[in-house]
Amino acid sequence: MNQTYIKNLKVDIASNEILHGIDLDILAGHTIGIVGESGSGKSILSKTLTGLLPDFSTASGEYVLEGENRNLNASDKEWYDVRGTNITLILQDPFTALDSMRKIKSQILDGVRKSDRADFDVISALSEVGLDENVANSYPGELSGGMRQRVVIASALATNPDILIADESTTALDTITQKEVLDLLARIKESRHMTIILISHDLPLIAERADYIVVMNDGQIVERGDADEIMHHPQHAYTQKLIHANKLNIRNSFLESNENTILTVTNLSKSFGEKQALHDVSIQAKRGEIIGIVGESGSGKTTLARTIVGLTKADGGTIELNEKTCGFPQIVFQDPYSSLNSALKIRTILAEAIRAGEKVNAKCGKIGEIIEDHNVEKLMDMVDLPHHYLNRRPGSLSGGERQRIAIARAIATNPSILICDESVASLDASVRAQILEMLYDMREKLSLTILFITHDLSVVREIADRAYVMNHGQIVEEGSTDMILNHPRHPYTQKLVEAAPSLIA
Amino acid sequence: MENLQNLQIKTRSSVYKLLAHRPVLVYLSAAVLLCALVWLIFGSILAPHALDQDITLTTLSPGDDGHILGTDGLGRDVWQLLIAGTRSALIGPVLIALGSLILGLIFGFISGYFGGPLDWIISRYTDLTLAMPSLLLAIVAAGVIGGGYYVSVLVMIILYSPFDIRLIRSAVRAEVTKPYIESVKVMKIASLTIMARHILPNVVVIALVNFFLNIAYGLVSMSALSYLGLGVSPAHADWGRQLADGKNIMYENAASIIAPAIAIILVSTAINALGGYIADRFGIDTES
Amino acid sequence: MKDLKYISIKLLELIISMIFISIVIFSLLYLAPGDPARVLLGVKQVSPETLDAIRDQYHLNEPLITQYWIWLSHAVTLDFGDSIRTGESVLATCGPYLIVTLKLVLFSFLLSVILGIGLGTVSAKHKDKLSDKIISNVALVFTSAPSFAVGLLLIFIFGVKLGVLPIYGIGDGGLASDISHLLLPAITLTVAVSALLLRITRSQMLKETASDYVTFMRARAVAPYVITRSKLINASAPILTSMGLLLATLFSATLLVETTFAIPGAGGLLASSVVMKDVPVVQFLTLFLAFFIIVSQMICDFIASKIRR
Repeated sequence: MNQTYIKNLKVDIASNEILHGIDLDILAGHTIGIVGESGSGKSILSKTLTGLLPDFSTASGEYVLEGENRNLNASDKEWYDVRGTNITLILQDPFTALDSMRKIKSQILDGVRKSDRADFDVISALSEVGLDENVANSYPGELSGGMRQRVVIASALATNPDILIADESTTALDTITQKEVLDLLARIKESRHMTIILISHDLPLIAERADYIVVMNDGQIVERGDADEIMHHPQHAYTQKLIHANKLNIRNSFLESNENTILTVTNLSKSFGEKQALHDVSIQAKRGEIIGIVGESGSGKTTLARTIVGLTKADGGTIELNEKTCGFPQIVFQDPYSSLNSALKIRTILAEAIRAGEKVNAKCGKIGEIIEDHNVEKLMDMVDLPHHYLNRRPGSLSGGERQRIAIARAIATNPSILICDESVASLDASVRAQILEMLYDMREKLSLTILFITHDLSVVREIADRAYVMNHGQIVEEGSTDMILNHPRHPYTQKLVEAAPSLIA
Repeated sequence: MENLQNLQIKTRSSVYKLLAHRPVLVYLSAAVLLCALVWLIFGSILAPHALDQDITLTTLSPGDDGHILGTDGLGRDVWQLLIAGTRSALIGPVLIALGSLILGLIFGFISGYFGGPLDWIISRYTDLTLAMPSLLLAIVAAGVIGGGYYVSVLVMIILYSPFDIRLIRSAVRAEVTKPYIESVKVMKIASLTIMARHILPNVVVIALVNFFLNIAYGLVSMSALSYLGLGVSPAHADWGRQLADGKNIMYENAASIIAPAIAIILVSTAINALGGYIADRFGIDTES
Repeated sequence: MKDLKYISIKLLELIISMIFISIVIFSLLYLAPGDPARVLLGVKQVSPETLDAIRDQYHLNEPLITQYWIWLSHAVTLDFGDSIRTGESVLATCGPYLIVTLKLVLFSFLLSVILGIGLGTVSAKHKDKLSDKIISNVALVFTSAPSFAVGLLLIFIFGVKLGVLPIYGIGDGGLASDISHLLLPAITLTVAVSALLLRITRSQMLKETASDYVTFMRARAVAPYVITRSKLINASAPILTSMGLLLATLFSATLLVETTFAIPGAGGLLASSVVMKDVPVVQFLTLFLAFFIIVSQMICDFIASKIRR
């Protein structure tokens, strides 16, 4: 087979160097996993290989694609010779990757050469990706995320590529769907003798699926090699850190709380139109417990969280907070970028929260029950941020730092319960580990009750004492973390646990 | 994907740096508006006798008898009238934009923040009025009612405000569901504080951009009224009025239409260009 | 079924809008300064008996709500009374004027759509290049410029300086005369409204170009013309909606442009009737134009919603 490689690849975008000299062999017939955190340049690499770099960018270096030298700064027209047939790219979001106004059939046919179109069989292309023929005449809006991603794969395969790059292509999917799509890719690679490049921020996923792993950091490749070799004997400090961050905190001793019950939710129900988001949901939380609430998108877990903090009104059921506790439940959301008001200084944001907390606590006569003498500096210490950040605005902070501020803001009001709604889902693995560690410590210090809403079983493994599993608005299983993860009883939990990639065997 | 987005934002801002911060057009617009402002403020010094000129029936060409732009059909100096006309060209439109902004903020916030039946009523009202041809109705209503310049301004405010209300309502609506607002809501902070401290700073740019666009529309509408002979009395200095008068003496003194026409076009373009520039800088899409 | 529901909701909206406008228009008679009976008689010297007769004829002594009802029931049969200036029935007075305006608006609408969508697509395709900058900046000037100012400048350039086109009136009615007389007014209208369509087309096309599905099509080497077609289809809903807006702007602008070019059209007639306080004519024309504008906007919105699915 013809060789494909890049040598000394440098990419500038608007005169910022993003990739600093990358050498990479694309080994034919392999599944190559490229792993890196946000800002590592892995997406730019995939765009360079397919000639899809944004405007105002220049690339230098040598690029040989299947034995032929390619000009990295070629026009779109020249790239048309290799795109599709030699190499193609599928993107992250299945909801935007297809033209919503045209039928699936014609979109799959788009990539087929005119001369081959008469012989091309859309039905068998669909069945190759596990879809039935009815899909051909549907519009993308009528399909689920997983089905759309299958259509995307079918469209990419219709051009008969030798190399398929999947850039975070399963990140937006639910755990179980993600597994199915990755299985599909693996099957197709074998049957078509293709090369697949998987790009992801998710090391466990890459470790499970790739046979050759490339670790990227800050526009450079820091380590590469056989998957087993990399995972078991990482040489570079960054790789070691990444692996460590992904299997941190296997807590063997789970807390058995003897404290009072602080929250009792009974038979909570909520519908949005036809859709029942919550169906007779009952949960309890004791003081100082960390509870995981696990579910996929649409399971109702976020509705549960919003109902407890009062952002959504329930149709039926009750939420009881222990009358001795003071302070409202507080919530930390997923997206660190929209969680803070970008117009205000950090100091103002925190001071406002402290004042709000004092007001509430004054009413029930328990000022500073948990933290005495609240002040903004103390809060910054609690979330491990330097005091001079107080005079900054959120715009100059990283995602992890913003999430720390969001936690500090929630803590400032002396909450009885802290609800984290996917609060670490959009953070890099290393940052995620730090934040989880911090929350764990906070529970110890403040005997805080934490409800952690997540789709990610590894979060439960790392932090929770107990967990509830939700599906279609109902709690299907409840138990200690050990029970849920290692001895799941409900078939849905079993499926979920089996599908989740993990570094812990 | 987040890193790619950041990258694109970075890319955009560095492209701006590359092309220098402000395009030439912005400087030109600022210069035009500055000039208009000087005319507005020092009008009585620059053109002291614009409105008490002797009425003669001879039209002079530019340059004759020291009249830079000649005289109009009543023998009045076109240049002086042009300077004096800045008043009605700017004050009314600014009042229109301001009035409609205030109505927009009040009702937009009520509607967007609280939702519910009040929102429904306000939204139906804006839908209804926005489907109507506002310039047409403005001319008809202001024209038939009569009552002069400030009555016309009032009519325009009423007809322009639905657009502001809808715009601010949807901007507020977009903010209200964002986590940063929900976070402070959970802290039981008073609604008025949330609106004033948290939401207002985040919608103020959109309101400002629209304020600029409204001034430009206001200028066009008000001068359209006076062009048709409505709104201002014939004795007033007004660019639209000048155009209407100059139409009949185009062959004798072309400057009597060219000068006010260019004045209106320049000022209105300059305001729109500045508004567009602000929108661009803050990444607001003015086309939707 | 869904369409039926959509259409009936839209019809209801239309009726409510028209009732709302009709109330405003009905009140014009009272908002005009002076005794309504005097307003209806214009500047004629009349005896108190004539005034009483007019009050009886227009039911001015009835309660307002009854008056409105009588006026409305006549209005739906297109009976708006007599023009104050001509003394003839409003419908007979306005008829010929409406046809001229319809011709002019249709002509400029076609020109605007071709120019606006065409140049908008070109401008988006050459984003940030010289051609785009020229097109965008000219469009900015044209959206800002009032139609009558542009019209007068065009009259000066083509009529006075170059003397190549007639500048006033509509000529003898032949096709060649129609075109030569309507050309400048149509260009004036087009200049004012096509820039709006151009800017929307440009920004919509840019939005589509940056979207994921276009990147994915390029990654699969889908033929460029297929991509452009896809982009246009996806951008067409907002473009159509703005075409409705464009029609509204066109009709409103005829007031000024027809006055400028002394064209005997409905816009010019409305403008002069407003000045002369010929209230019945104003009522009819405003109601008619508003109806026409709202209906055409609704049709555009309906097609746009069909495209959006």
